[in-house]
Amino acid sequence: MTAVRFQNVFKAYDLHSGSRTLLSSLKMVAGETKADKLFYALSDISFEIQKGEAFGIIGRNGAGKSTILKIIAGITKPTSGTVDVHGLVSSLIELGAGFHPDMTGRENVYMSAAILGIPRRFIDAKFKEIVDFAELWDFIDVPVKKYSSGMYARLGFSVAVSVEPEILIIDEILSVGDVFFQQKCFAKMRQIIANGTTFIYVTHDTAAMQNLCDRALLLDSGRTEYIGSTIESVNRYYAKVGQKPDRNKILGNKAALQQVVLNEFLFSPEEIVEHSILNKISCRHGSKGLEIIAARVTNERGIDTFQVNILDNLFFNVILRANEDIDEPTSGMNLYDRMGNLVFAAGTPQLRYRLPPLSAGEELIVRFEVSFSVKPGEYTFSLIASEPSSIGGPNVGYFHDQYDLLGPITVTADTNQVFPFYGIAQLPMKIFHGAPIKSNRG
Amino acid sequence: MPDSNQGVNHIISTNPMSYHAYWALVNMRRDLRELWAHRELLITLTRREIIARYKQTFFGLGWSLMQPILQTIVYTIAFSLVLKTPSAEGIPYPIFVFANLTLWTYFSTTTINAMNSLRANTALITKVAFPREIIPISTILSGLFDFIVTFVVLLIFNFFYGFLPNIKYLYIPLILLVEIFFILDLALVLSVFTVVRRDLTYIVTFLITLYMFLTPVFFSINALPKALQEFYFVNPMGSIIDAFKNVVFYNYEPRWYSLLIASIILLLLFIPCYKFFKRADKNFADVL
Repeated sequence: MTAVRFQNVFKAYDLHSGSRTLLSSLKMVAGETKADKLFYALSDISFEIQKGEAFGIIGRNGAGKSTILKIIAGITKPTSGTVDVHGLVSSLIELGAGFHPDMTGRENVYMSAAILGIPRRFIDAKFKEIVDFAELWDFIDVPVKKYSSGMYARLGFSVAVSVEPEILIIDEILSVGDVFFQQKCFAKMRQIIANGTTFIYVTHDTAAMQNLCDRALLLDSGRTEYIGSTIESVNRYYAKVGQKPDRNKILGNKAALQQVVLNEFLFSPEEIVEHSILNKISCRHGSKGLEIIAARVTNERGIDTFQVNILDNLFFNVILRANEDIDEPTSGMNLYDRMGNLVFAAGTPQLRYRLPPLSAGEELIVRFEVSFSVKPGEYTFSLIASEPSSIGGPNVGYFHDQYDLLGPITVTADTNQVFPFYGIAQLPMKIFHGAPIKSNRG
Repeated sequence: MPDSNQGVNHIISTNPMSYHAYWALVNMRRDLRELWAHRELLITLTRREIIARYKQTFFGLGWSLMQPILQTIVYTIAFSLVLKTPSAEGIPYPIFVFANLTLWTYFSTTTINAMNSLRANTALITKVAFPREIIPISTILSGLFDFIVTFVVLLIFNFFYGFLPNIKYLYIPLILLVEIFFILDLALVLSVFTVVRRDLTYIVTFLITLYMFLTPVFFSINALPKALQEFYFVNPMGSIIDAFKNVVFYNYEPRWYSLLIASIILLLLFIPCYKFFKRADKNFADVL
């Protein structure tokens, strides 16, 4: 049975509503959009969501994701086309939308339920559960304006999931709250999906979407780019970030590139796979034409570790597998600090290092030796398998596979000694001096 | 909408080319049923509005009395002392004016508030879906709270002047219902205008003041020219205030024919007003 059906849906927004006459603005309010400067947030969107399905919507900012949600929730209507929605919709377009700051948490719970048309006695029965989930036992009779943003979001999420809607809409909201509450929310969403609630999820967190959703819609500038399995949608989404290289293009300047083939790697592929630091929790995306199958991180003595003394090396042993013919495979890594700042990123193109062309099915072991001349602290890293992009110049790559949020690597330093440098990172620096000279001055 | 579509939450089907067909689609019965289904929201929103208005104020309830009491003092000084009008229509001037203002303040304040209510609730409208008319209606109902407070004070004043409550007071809720319908008709149309252009508030405030002189509120109808006196019984606020005075001061029945005409007109006007509002309300989230 269909829960939501969109048929040739268009949604246009008028871009200059600021400079209108009273009459034409009234016409617009009345739905008579004859304006000359229209922006189409959605163009010819058709899809169906079955009852009980977990459905994701992805796309860049401004692709029209929120507009679709607002139409499903009934907040706005399409300019043309048909939309059928069967069942009670509970939407988290924004957590705690409709909360009144002067009213207490308790009053706002009843208020939010009333907006959805849920009777008071139903909430009476559910009230304890809502408060327990939000963990707001001591604050439920405090006006919500005194809440922290995390408390506010927790109560909003708790209400939206507790009213037992037939269709639950969640729009990119789980970035609030600490990691423990986020995990609790994911568990709750899985439970809701298992109970047969139709679930519609919009997020940029593609790992979470792959985890929760069966199917996904990929939007690009208000048009359907792809609709189908979540994995395929996510891959296509990332594939759009860069452009695939043209196979027939002649690769330039090969001579300038260096190549060092080590016949003796420290590890065999089996050893790398066995000690691989990659796991399913890692954030992974890409179209996987060139795949990172395993990665092992060791220190110079071959011991698996993420701990490194300042200025010492870590070895990143990566196995790449080509799932299609790759003329110019490239690979590299990114290093991020605790705040998520990119500290350093480099790979084969930056080091002018050329990897051999790979045919479909071939594997290649690549080792990065990185000297951690960065200040002591915690870092995360990404591993990337890519190809040069055919568009956008030499500094744009087409990413086949990327693992994010690996680590954390801890860089340590002996505090009993003078640090080799202060600041974020060490720059190459040399010091010279001459022989002592007897001074004639003063 | 065919009734066979049981369980369908909402179906939106529009074609910008044929908006007359859409007009016909706006089925009033369905809209009213939807409104009834959300009656708890209406109650909650009304309560919220009353609480929000008084929670953070120093004088609390005093504010709802401030306006009619101050106006009564000003008009009493002007009419009793300066223009030497000891009474109007046989009623001592201060309570004559205060009784009129009890109904009038409710009308003028609530009309303006309801007119601005959609703009004031932008956050709600752009984030959640529910029948939008609940917002102006809850504003109108929350205004009743101020009315009741003022009415109690009127009873106290009347007691000092020797006017005691009588059995005809049972008509007052009915009179009030006619007034609520009048405000509702106005609010449904004006609030849509205000969504588009906010400066309309100033024009409407001015027109309401003008209307106060025509009704009239703070002087007797006999002071108006004969031609304007005719207007008294056709204008809804005139017949409402007249009925109220009959009940409160004279222990008379309301002038039924006048009240009935007003009621019929207001009920008939409700249909196009409501349709106008419902036709516009799907676009509020985009325009606000």
